[in-house]
Parts: sequence; C-alpha cells; structure tokens
Amino acid sequence: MQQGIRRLSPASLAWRLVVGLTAIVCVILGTAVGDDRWWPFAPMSQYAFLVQNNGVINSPYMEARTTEGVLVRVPLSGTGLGLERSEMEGQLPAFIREPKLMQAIAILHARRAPHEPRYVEIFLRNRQTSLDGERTQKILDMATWVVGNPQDPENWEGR
Amino acid sequence: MTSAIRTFFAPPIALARIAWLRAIIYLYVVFDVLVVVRDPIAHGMVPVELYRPVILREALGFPAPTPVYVQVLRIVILASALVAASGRLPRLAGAICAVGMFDWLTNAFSYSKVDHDHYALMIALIVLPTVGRARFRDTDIRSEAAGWVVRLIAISATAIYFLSAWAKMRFGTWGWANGSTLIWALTRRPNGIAPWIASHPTLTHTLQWLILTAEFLSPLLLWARGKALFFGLAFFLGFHLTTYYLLRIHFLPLVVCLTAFMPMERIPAWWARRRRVGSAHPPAAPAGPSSAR
Repeated sequence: MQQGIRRLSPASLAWRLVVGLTAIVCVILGTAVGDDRWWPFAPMSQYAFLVQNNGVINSPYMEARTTEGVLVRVPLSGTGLGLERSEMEGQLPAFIREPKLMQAIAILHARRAPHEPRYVEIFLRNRQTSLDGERTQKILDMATWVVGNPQDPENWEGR
Repeated sequence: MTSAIRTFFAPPIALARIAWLRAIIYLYVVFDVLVVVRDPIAHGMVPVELYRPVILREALGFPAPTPVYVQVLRIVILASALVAASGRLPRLAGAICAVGMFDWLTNAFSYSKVDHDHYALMIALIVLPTVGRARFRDTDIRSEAAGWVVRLIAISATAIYFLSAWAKMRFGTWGWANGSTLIWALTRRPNGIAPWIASHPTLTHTLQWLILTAEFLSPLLLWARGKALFFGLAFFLGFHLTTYYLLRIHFLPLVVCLTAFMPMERIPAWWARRRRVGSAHPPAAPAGPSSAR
C-alpha cells in the first residue's frame, strides 16, 4: 500500500539538477584533460597506461646507507616509513630532477624510527625486468643524495 | 522532455532505501578510516616538502596535516559516521562526516598517489545529508529527493568504470588491450594463480578486452532492470572479487556504492514472506503408520 509520493518543488529539483550535472561534467573533464590534483575529479587512471609486450617493467625502490655503514632497503609503506611506494613513484620525476628532496626521506625516517641508525646516503634505484622470454633483470641508479647533517637531518641548514 | 529528465535524475524511490544506504555507507566509512585509508595518520609526520595538495584542498584552505590534527580528525569522522549510520541527526552528522572525509581523503591523496575508487563514496557522502529523516520502515513513502541521491550515487559508480576505460584510451592508447599492463600488475603484486595467468599473454589480452568492453558498457546499468541489472551487478562484483584474489586490490568504496542499485528496502518484506511460507508448510506428516515403514 503506497502512502504517497513526496515531490520536489521546481526550485529544489532545479538546484539538484545543477549540482548533478556539474558533478558529471567535472568528472568527465577530469578524465578527458585533468590530472591527479583534480581529485575528486581526477582521471580514473589506475592501470591506464600501456606496457609494450616486448617492453620492460620498472620497479623503483630506495636504499640507504646508515651511520653504521650498512645498506638497508627504505621501508616504503604506510606502516614502515609512513610513505607508500606508489607515493614515492608519484614524485619520481621530482626526486630525479632535485635529489635534495630525498633529505625529506631521511627526516621522515628519523621521526618515525628515532632509535634506528640514521640514513647517511640515500639511493633511488630501479629494478627493470624485460618482458622478453628470458625475463632478464637489471638494476639502474636513478638518483643519489648525501644526507645533510645525518644525525639531525631536520636541522640541516641547506633545507 | 522535462518529465524524462525528472524521471531519470529524481525518480520517486522509497525513503527506506536511504536508511539502508546510510547504514551501509557510514559504517563503511568507519571501516575505511580504520582499515583501508590509514595513510593520513602516517602523513601527519611526513615533511611538508613532499606535500602536494590537490587543488580543491588548497582552494578551500585545508591545512597541511600534522600528527595531532589527523588524530582529532579521525575521531570527528568516526563519531559523525556512527551517529549518521544510526539515522539520527542525518543532515548535521552527515554534513560533518562529508567535510571530515573530504579532509581525510584529500590528505591521503596529496602525496602524489590518488585512488580513484573513492570518487563515488565522496559524492555519496555529499548528497546523503540532503534527505532528512529516513527510517527502515518507510517503504511506503516514495520521495524524489531520495531518488536524486540514489541516482547520483549510481551515476558516480558507473562513471568510475566508464571513465576508467576512457583513461585507458587517453594514457594507454587504443593499444592498451593488446599490451602487457595486466602482466605488469600480476608481476608486481602476484597472488594465487596470478603468475600462471601472467605467463599466458593470449589469456591476459582476452581479459583486458573483457575489462575494457565491460567498462565502456557500464552506463547501461543505469537503464537496466530486473535480471539484466542483476547480472550486470554480479559481473562487476565478480570482477572485484577476482582482482582482490589476484592482486589484493578490492575497490570496496566503489562496491558499497553499487548497493544504491539494489532495492534493499524490499528485504524485510521478502524475509517476512519467506518466514510465513515456511510456517504455513510444517514438516510433512509420515505417509503411513510407523509400523509400515
């Protein structure tokens, strides 16, 4: 048994149509011409890139030499360093163009793990796997940063 | 024409659907901030040099995250989401939750990584407070305001699929479906039979064509009814289950928004009918005297 229909007044319907159409136009424009900074109207670009069949798979990662002289993998994750690998990859061009930006990695490590040996040098590297039959791998150096004031990187004067 | 637009954007839908959607979406928000999108807490410690705020966050004046700020924000979101899920103060609690989640998600996405599966959820949180009180028993009251909310969530969910296909053409070109993007994903995040699939290029190309076709056709869900809608939704739910099994990628924020398509308000009546039918047919009596068995 239907009790009735609650209709919208013309004004109520009008603003809803405007809001709805605006959201639709913005999200279409975001994918057509926008970039990630347009979120929530950013392009729906997850997995929207072409990997050639005879191309390569790039897996960038970071390593660091500590004050104890040990080479360690920088734990790029939310629970590790507090920054995901995909977030590092999103800023890859900036890290390569301006390696000084990796000072922030040393600062973050010092904040998140104050009792661990500090980073002295940070390496941005890429493990490249070819998609040929052999699936051969090679490691490429992309950028290196010698940490300023490694014991207290936050208070490095060049920052 | 006006009538067609009205029917498409604001069809009269039972108010009870809003009560169901509120319960599902606001409870999912609790899960989202505690389990799925936890980066904002960690971002509180990230140096500001790595902060790349999304345009709207910057324009609206939200600050760069700090450790205390993100902890307080999480409490505000959890409290408002729980109140809104209960159906109390739907406009106030819903609006606070929407602003809080905008802050939370733009924080998460302001470090050069965006998850596009949260678009429909964000739209849902913005539009849900536009409907006043809605109860689970309001199955007989149909409302155009409720219909507009349901339609906008449904449109936003299908937009994610359709625009994913568009983005593949924009960034991956028309060669995407015959390329090795799926092999790339299966190689980087392998799980279960993923390595076996990755070693069969013909199979991965077939799967890529299937994904692309389904994404391009997804807007048909907005007009589908009955079995067609059921099979369409079942296909996409199966797709998300498969990607979770193979890649551990779940798209849950999008999946909860797909519930907008489902007439959940009919569940209590359907359940009551089942129980009545069950009680009307007691277990069959023995066909003959026990001595004859």
